[in-house]
Amino acid sequence: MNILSTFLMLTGCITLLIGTIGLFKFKDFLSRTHAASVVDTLSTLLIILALMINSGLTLYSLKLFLILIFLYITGTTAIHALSQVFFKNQDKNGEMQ
Amino acid sequence: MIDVYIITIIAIILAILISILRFISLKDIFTKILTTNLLGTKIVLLILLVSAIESTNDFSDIAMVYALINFISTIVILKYFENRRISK
Repeated sequence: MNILSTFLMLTGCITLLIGTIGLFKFKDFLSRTHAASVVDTLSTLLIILALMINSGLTLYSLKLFLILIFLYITGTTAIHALSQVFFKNQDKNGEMQ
Repeated sequence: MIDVYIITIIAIILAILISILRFISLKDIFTKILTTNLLGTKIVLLILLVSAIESTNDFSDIAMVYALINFISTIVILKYFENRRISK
């Protein structure tokens, strides 16, 4: 149990740093949304799953699960809306601002 | 287990510093909104880890409210941006 949660949490750290460095490495905006989505989905999944495994089957674990579902829905929706606004402005201006 | 929490907190703080550097060094407005959204997610994870170290369960509500405010602020900024463009 302890080894599993440690492994999940350290993997979450690594994906968090990789996704953040991706914001520097990619030149295009849409590629940057890809790097940000890694942090928003995979890293939160791994770290909150490790916290849930440590906490066991309690009410706090249920709250963590609800936070995970909420972050999944809102993070992807926000990045989708951002890409849509980017596409509309790109069509109007011919290039990104 | 506390050591792993502290390593994770250090990694998240490093990622927050990198995100702030990205926010300062670029003039593209879309990347700035993206970075702000990412900062909110990282701060939610930071609150949850601090709550796990302190072994109090009260911070999870704060984390949930922070996630909600983060989502609403991103959508409102995008709506303002869109309406300002349409009304021109």
